[in-house]
Amino acid sequence: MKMSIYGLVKKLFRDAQNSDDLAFFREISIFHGLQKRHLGRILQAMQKRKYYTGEIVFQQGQEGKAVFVIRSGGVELSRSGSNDKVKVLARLGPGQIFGEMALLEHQPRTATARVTEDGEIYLLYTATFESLLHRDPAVGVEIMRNIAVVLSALLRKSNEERDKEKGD
Amino acid sequence: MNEIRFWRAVISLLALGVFLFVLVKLFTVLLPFAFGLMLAYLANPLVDRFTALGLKRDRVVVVLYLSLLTVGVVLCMWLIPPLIHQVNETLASLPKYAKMMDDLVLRFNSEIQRLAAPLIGARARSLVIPFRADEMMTGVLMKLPENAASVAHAGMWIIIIPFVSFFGLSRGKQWIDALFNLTPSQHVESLLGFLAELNATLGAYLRGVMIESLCVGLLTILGLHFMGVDNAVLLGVITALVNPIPFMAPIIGGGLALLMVYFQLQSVSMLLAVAILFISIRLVDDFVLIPFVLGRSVHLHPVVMVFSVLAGVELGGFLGLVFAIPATVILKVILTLLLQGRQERFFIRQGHVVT
Repeated sequence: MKMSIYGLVKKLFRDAQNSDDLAFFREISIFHGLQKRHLGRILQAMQKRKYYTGEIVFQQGQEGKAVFVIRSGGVELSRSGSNDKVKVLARLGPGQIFGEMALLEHQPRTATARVTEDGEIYLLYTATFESLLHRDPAVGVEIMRNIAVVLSALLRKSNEERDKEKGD
Repeated sequence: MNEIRFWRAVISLLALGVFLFVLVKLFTVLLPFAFGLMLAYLANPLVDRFTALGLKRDRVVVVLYLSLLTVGVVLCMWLIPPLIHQVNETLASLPKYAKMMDDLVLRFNSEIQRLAAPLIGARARSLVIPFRADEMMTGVLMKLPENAASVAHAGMWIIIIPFVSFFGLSRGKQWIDALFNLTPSQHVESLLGFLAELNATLGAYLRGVMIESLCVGLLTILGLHFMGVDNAVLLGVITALVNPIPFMAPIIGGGLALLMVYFQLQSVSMLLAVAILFISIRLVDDFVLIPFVLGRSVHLHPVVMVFSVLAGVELGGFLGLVFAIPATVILKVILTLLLQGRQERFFIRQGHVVT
């Protein structure tokens, strides 16, 4: 009887969409190891927007104020060099994060993000993110550690590419 | 390109003009809706705390409403009877208070005339305070039917405001997501920044002011009650209501309490005690409540606050008074962001790191 009342209350109050969203966020590199309630708070602080193919999410050189998480669809990151040559840096899909450098430093964007497939993208304002981290420093440490791991992997990849170019 | 920019600016200005015109025309109609949305906004963090745990938003809102209703009924049962009793008591004593006030003014006038007579002679007779409490009271009573109509109007608000705030709370962030979907992608980051800054400053400010006023009201009720002053609840409620307006809590609340003590006890020591109570509450407010409750929200200079309140009263009467400070906070956030944006663009152009 007790269990059935609990089951009824759970059925009445449990938000299945929220559970799906949390499961999705748990898989994102910078949110690894976070507890459900912390992920829930980060999710609360985010906005969601529909993007259509060809839309520019942000431009190279623009002030970086937000970090983006792809829920569905695709995004291409490209960078134009001094000779106006455009180099595609990465093609991203669901569950991938971009613009995360804005979390660390307030500098102009180093690449342009263009939508290659219709979908939804979560946006998080960096100052809101920072205030969440200040409110719970343990979460802040965990996220910063995850960001350091991501950046370290990127640096290693970049070094390997450079070595390969030199070798060629 | 310049021509496109020019026409875009003209159309934007026209749209803004039409929006402001409709806003002014429908101001009183839109007001309860604005209040409802404001309440939803203030209660939103509480609902967010539960939805972050994986609970359904609409169910949480229903439970919150039922809890608030229960608390409201209990509070009304506790607060309303003494409040009605005190209002009735005050209304019944008004003729007596008016006569005492008139006697006081009369005594004051004759004292001034007596002191001034050796200096200015017969002209001293013209030195009078032109105030008659009984005439003022008659004026207020004559306006009662008009006020009763306002109360009936407010009755509609009691239905509309909870209704609007319920739907505002149930939909939560979906309103904002819809706004983002309508915004061109190049402005999304700016809108995100604006809304986040506004939420951090205005939300904290409004919630802080509400908590601060509640504390000031409770301290006033407790202080006056323990001093044995009549109508402590009524005076506390008035003090809490005027508290968001700078300096008004000690002036209006304290002034009314002093008058009440004068009418009730005519004791100089009690007058002094009430004055000390209001000064102490003011000090607690300045050095404990404001730094603790409002410390991290927006800081408005008292002069700016007084100016915005006066401007609000001039533009929109009582309603202008209510919305003056939130509107000033919004304006301050917009100006701060514009200025910050200009600085950042300048540093980016100069090739500096933006901090």
